[in-house]
Amino acid sequence: MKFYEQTLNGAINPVKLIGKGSYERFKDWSLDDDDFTPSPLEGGFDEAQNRLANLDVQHYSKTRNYLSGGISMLSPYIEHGLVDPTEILKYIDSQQDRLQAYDFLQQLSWRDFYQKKYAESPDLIWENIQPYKTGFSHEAYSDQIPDDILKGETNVAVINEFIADLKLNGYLHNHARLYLASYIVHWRKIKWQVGAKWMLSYLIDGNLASNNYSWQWVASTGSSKAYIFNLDTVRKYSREGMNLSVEANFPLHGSYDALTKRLFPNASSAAKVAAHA
Amino acid sequence: MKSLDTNKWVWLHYNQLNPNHDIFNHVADYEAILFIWDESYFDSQFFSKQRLYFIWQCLSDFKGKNLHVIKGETDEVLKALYKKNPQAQVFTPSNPGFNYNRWQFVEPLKQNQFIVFDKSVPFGFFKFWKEAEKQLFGARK
Repeated sequence: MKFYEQTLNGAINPVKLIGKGSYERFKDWSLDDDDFTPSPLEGGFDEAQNRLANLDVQHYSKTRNYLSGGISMLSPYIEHGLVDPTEILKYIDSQQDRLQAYDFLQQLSWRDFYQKKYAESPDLIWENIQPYKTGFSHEAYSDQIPDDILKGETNVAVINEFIADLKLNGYLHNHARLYLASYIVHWRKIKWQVGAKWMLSYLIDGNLASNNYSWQWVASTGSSKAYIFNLDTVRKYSREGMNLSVEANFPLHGSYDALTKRLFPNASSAAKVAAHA
Repeated sequence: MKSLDTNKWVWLHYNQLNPNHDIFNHVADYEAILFIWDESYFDSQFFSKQRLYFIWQCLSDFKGKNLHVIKGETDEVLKALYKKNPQAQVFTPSNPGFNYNRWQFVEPLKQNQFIVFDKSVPFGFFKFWKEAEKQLFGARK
């Protein structure tokens, strides 16, 4: 492996990296003195193969909605091309009847669907596909993420936990991504584009197409209804150790009808919400 | 830099970091692998430091495969390589949304599709899923 950098006059010069380990050499390469904590998800082909070998599609089907469920964690490896969806399909076929992987393959198809949408119209990836169906116009949503979200110090304990997870691991369970996106867009009235960029800036498996279309799905600019959730739903799918008290999560407390009225007072009907029950 | 005078490159993007990538079967006589560490591009995609380190770890898998990692802007690096050796050919797995037309010496190679869908992509997922379901499960579902 050889390393080079291009100078302003276009010349390409070799670079000798200093440092014994991968982390030190990376810091030398990136010319960055600040320490950081690498994600517990390590890059590399062997890691990808280990994840694939541990793929349990039946366990995935039964538990994937739970924050501690049997998700594959393959997404960082798929995103960086270390394992290909067609290779995953071959692996599944070598292990069991493909039908047992129905839910998992549907999830892979969501990803493929979003990639194809992006390939079809790459210039529109940051545009609203349709108007919001929330009773608010695009302009009613903020262009900035407030400090309490940036710092993970909102008045919603579970949201703060998701933000802390995202920053520490560079990864979040898919439902936590949806909860976080919904909170940012619908509770805090922030444009989905702003939230999507913020989330991308942490995810190690961040995929522009999957990320942005998912945010649009939540926001209702890419779906027929806004997506919201409530504290009962988080409790149902929670993992151990979360602070799920009403006091610490009051903005999420209430029935879907009550939250819909609170969040979308101008919407034409309560049916304009996709709830995650 | 003699080693940059390569005639036949395989250029891998950040999302193609597989040392056993299928492209090596199609360009079996490649001489060197190119990875462009384009910080401007990474910034435009909002990559975190954790993610860059993940990519760095992936690059370590290419030890012994004559990988050249060049820090610079993609367009500038490719043009500099071409200037060095106008006979150079660069093969790369095609990336959706990436415009290769600017470089005549770069040949993007089509990638396998998970679901083959030649129609216009529908607004909602489930119309797409109907077709995907047929391809994945045939009559079994």
